[in-house]
Amino acid sequence: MKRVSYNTILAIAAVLIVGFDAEAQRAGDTRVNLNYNLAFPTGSLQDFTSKATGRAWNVNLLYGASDRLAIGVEVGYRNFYESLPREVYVTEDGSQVSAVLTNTVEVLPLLAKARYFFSEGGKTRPFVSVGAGVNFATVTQYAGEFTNATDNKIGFAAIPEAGVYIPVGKNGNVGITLAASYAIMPYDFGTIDNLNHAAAQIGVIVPLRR
Amino acid sequence: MKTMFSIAGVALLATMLLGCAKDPLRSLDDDEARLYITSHDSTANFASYNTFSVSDSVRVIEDNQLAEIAFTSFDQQLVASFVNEMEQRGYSRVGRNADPDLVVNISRIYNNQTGIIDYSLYYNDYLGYYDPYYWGAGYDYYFPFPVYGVYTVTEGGISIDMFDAMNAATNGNQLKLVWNGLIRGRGTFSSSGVSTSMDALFAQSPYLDSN
Repeated sequence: MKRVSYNTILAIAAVLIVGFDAEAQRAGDTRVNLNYNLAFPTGSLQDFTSKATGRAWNVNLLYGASDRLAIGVEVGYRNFYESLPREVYVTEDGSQVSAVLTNTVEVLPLLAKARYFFSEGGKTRPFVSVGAGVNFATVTQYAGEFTNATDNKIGFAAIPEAGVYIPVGKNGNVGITLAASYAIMPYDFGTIDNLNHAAAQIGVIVPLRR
Repeated sequence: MKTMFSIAGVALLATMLLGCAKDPLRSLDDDEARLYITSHDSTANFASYNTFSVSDSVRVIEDNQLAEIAFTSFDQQLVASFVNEMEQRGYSRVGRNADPDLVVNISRIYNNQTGIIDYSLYYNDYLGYYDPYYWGAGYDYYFPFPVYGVYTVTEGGISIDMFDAMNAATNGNQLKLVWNGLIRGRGTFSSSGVSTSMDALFAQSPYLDSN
């Protein structure tokens, strides 16, 4: 079977999502917001993996309950990773272990989301959003190529967000989003008591087929 | 129907993007993938040892069974590297019949199961892989501290065991383990990694420098 390339998959996804609708935005519309994220760990997550990650995205489907309020669902993904230089660690039994430690965290929040636009039109439409739901998280530490510790849990996630929607095109029903968010994700594993992080995101809003 | 197509498109895109995770192990080179583990008897006086003898063969142990006694070119490189490290620290290599202070066994270990292995099990009196009488009649091996390894499927390692022969008589004819070095991970059995691995074992064992 011929292998399907990522570009082909992207093209198929784009056609399925966008279609050829180009109507003005109003209540009753359903739109997809695809965002690329740059995520920054904070708190105890930062102690585990201190580096920001660009392996992060979110996608939401929002239905216009009114001209200003949209509600829907969102799924996201962030992958934090850090490899530490080789160091000698002393174990409880007194042995010395020389290893390169690699710490990874993956979070996949699945949220119910609401977004409120402060205006019904204009060149820019500021908004605030809040999402709450479940978080599928995996935390792993490798010593060399060996798994030293791993844990995965389903927990709670809440992500408040603030940003701006910039409509483009003749009818303004597609556009660009710029936003900042903060993920609140309680967690309990070793020295980690939460997976909180901040994120900056840029994305596109496109209408679904009606 | 049209909305379902759009939702399918989003699901397809989300599924593809889930493959964006960084493979945490792919970026590790062979040295970074390896672990170097050392243990020692904290009561041993390494400054009192001057000579050592290394077994003239390597035990190959597979799934806790002695597979063969070998001395391949890789094994020779392993022994040579160990000898070099010891001699750099002021120890002198002698034959096993020359009453060495320290006696050393080197093993290549392959395991195809998951479990915790106690290395001392390789050293039973008459049915074990190393005959203590090789170092002198009446000797027996003694392990004052545990030496454990955790193995997963098809994992292997190199174990270097150093015993106190100088004080065996006063220890009830027991060859007491005073130092163990373990090398585990990718490239363990590669010739190119031997000196790096041996350097690491000795670098984290500064008490061996006291000679």
